[in-house]
Amino acid sequence: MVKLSILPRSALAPYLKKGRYGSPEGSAGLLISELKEFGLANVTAFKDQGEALQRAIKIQFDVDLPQGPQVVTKAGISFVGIAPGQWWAFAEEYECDRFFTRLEACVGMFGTIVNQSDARAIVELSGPKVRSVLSKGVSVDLDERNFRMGDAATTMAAQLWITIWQTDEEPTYRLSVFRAFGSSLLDWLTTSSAEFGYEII
Amino acid sequence: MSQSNRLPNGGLIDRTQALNFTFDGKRFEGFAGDTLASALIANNISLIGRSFKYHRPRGIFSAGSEEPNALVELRSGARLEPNTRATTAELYDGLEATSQNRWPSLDFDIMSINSLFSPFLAAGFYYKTFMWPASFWEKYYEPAIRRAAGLGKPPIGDDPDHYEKAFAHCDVLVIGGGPAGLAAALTAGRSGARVILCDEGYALGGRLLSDSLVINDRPALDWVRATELELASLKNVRIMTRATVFGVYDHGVYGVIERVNDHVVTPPAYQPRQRSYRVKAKRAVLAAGAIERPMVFGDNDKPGVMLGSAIRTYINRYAALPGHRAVVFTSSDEGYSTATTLEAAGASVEAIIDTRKGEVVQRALGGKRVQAVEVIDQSGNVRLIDCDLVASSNGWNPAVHLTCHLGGRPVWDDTSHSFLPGKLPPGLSVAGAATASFTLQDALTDGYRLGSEAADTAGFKAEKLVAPVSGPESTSHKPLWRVKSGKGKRFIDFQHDVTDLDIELANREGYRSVEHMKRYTTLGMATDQGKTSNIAGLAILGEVSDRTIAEVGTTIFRPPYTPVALGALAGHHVHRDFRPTRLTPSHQWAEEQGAVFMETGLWMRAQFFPKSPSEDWLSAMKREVLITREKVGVCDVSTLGKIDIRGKDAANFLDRIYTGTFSTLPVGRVRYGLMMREDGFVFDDGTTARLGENHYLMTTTTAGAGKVMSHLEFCHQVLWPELDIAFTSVTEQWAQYSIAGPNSRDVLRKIVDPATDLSNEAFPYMSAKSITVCGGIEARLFRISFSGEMAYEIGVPNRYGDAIIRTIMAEGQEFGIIPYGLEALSTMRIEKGHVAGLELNGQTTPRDLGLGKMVSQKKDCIGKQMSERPAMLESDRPIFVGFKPKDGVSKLTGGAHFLDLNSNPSLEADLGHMMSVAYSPILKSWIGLGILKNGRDRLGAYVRSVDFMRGTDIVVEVCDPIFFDPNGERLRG
Repeated sequence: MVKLSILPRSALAPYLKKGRYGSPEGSAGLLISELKEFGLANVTAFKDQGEALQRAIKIQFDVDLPQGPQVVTKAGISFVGIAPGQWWAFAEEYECDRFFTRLEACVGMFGTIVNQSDARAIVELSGPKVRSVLSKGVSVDLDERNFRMGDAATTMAAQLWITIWQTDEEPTYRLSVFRAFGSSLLDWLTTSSAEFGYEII
Repeated sequence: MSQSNRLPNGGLIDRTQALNFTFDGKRFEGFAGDTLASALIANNISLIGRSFKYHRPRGIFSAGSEEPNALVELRSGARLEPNTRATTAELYDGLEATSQNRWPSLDFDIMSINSLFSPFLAAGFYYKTFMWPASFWEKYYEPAIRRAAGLGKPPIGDDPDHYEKAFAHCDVLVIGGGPAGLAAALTAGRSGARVILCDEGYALGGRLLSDSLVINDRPALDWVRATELELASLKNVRIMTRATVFGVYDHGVYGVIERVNDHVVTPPAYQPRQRSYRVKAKRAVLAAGAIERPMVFGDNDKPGVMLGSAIRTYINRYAALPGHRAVVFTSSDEGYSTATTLEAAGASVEAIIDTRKGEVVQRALGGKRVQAVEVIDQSGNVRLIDCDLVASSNGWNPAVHLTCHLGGRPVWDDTSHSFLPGKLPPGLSVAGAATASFTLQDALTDGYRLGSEAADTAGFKAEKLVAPVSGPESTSHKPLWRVKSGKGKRFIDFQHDVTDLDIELANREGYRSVEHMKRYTTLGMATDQGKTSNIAGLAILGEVSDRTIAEVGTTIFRPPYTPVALGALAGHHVHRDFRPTRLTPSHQWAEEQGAVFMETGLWMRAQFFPKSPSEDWLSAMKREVLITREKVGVCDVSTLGKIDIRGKDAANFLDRIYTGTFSTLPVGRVRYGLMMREDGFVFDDGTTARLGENHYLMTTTTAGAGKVMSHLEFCHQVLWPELDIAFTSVTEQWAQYSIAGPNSRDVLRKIVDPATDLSNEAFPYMSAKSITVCGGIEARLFRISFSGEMAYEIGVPNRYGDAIIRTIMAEGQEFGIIPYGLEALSTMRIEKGHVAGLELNGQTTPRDLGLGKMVSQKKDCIGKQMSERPAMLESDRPIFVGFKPKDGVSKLTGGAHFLDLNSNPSLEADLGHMMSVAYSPILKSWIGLGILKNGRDRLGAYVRSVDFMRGTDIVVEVCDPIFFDPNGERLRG
């Protein structure tokens, strides 16, 4: 085998170019940035092992696994409830070994951990018009009265399966689709935000 | 003179903003705040269009979305919109409108000759008139009717504007921004509830914009402005104007269309033309108001005959005077307020004909505009009154339309002489004139009460406010459903040219049910859904069949309340965004290579890689197949579904899903799996690898990935919840490439890290292994083959998907590597007799596909019992075989049916059909796969292959479906 330089590429790298687009008036209504180096694992509890899994996660990561469409975060690691008995474990940085090793260590016999770090494209969305833009596809009520920091939803938007969660009260959202749908996601987001102007950062 | 009918003062128009527009090419001027209709009236234009059937001259009849007559083509070219109601089209600078349904001109329309033939054009004429001779139908009658039918013409070319869809949520949705709606929104808004207030117009106020009324001793408009200001200041209230709530759906969902930029020449950059909303509301208050009813009398469709309320609107709101000498024809006190308004605007009211005093107008006279009316009194004396305007007022119909959308049927009310809302959609209450509470005071009181109730039931605590006080109003009326004396056509449905005689005819011919009468006469079936016409039709049907209106009943309304552009319902999802697109890990690289792509489901996959722009698919495919079979080729197979299955019952689960046994599969090995549906037909196939004792990786077909995942979930959650397993789709986690051909191992050696032994002994056919590549990147290697060559599939985390294909190509160069696309992939699988999507068509069992032996007899599995039903096992049931043209050169076609050489095409003689065909560059002939009765017994025999679709009829030889390397020596390397 020869020494090859083979570099990873993020899901949206071919489609995102930094800059201000759409309506040039005022400050951009939507800010879009890609999360590139995250680690993501699908965690599923085995039969009757939900509580044991819950305890194990609590000991290892010091969080209570959400029992619904919510997200809990501690020290750069989040758990997102995506279905009954199923979560995403999300690490801000890939840190592949450490993150997965710790997960393996605690999940072990109580459930499965399947690496999904490459299966998803995730964008971080913020800006004064972020709710208006998202309302053009997301049927979930994202109003501050209904959906706040720590809330998550796995739903459809613009014919795409998405998982979305809110990370601060700005609000800032993280929105994820299957990697291969990345360009369609951006087509929808950029068309929907063009009237407000959007910035890719 | 420009704007000769514009009143010198008043109106809610902005006289400082003059707007130019054209109608039928002629230039006019109006003001900001005008509609097209009010601007035409101000310019003394009364003839707007021609009617649907008789091409009679028609003018402006109403001032709202109920307009049946004044339909124009707005804009031109690709933006042309036929049948736009001039009464709702806001005037903008540069507006272009054209009259429709006339030729050669609006003034002189040849088709108006239809009026002379009206006895032959009555209701249902098309069922009777064009019966004989039958042979004339397609050739003459239908084309002639098609030419004459329709209203307006569609635009040519793609709509250049874009449309959006959006969602909105609220506690209280208020439909209608008139007094009741404003009051409801205000009380609900003050409680803190999230309120959406929708009005179809651009200004809030409803009838308060049109009638001079008082609230709390001040002009009602002051109250409107104050209320609007307060609502706008509330963060929890969203005011949507130019937004029509067009439909009510289950679970508190309302359809709303917002005309974001219909009121400008072209939408500003980046803005949509229209936006459709799905509004989810906990509660809703319908305050849609009411629609005035016209009088039915002879030639009541002449331009200049208008609804009384419309006349008041044009005068008070738009300062446009629709006529100078008016006759008011009324059955209610409403008429007097019209008369006062006309007098105040300087018109002369020639007469007030009040039906309650025993007088009626029996006919309007005039050509393209009313010039006089014939009035008949109780004693039968007829007198003529000259006029250029007739105000027609016959009471009001509550706008109950939305209450019907979930099946509610309006109920007749003898007191108000109108249909009231029946069973209401859950969560909806109705306020004001929409419940026949016609006074302003009623509207305000209702609005305050229902707004606060809605907020309370949505979980808020609304302050109980006392409604402001309006002035006295008289709404007394006694409707007259038609004037029977006199000559002339008495129109009921103006848009569809339905007269009272059509109703009588329908009754005579037995169409007495209101639903039958509607369809026979087409009453209420035009784009206005009979907003102004339905009740008169029902009343006349009752009169001639000796029933009351309550006994006749009513048809109900469906969405949309007013027409909705399909573009607004499609929103973003048109053209290439019709469906989302999935791009493979190698997509960008393949684009750089000039690949031609094709859609497979949502995926875009490389169909072939032309060497030069002139190389067509067939030449490219031949080259790709030959080089792959001779040297090595690479293909992106990431689109195949990949499902990670883990748990202590994983093996057991797979044994139940697949026809074969997977519990005996050793770790590190791969097996071909076939799954059936419950009914015994093949569902999907693929290879499944055992990666650990309780860990499998299943692959599915590209098209089957989603449905297989659902199937597995269903089987686990519903059929066998006791099994301890978990699935995760990992399709998108891995970028997977097939490297096929005699040199594949050499190429791979350049990629994998040295620890991996690729020798046949260490890694034989049907092996699987986790390895590392390119200096430590985790990867999965499979020794499987679809092409029949020695082949590997290498999977790497998707982030390396682009880099690895570039590396494979670079490292494979010395071994002659080429990329191949779907055409080559398909040809190679047909050469090998592998089944794929065209064979797994839901109509074939494992036995039919020659895969009967793959159904294990040692265990049960989904579909096994049903696949063994007697009919499924009959010996002459078509079975899978291969085909070659007898002459060696003819092209085979998929879908061709097989026949014995001496039989004629018929269903009875049918022996089966061709499923997949390809040109085999190895055999230098077309080859095909299909199913044939007693196929295995016919090997070497000839049958006819007939394809009427493509006009081919050739003789083919029946052969084994494996055309190439029948013993599989090549794939074992």
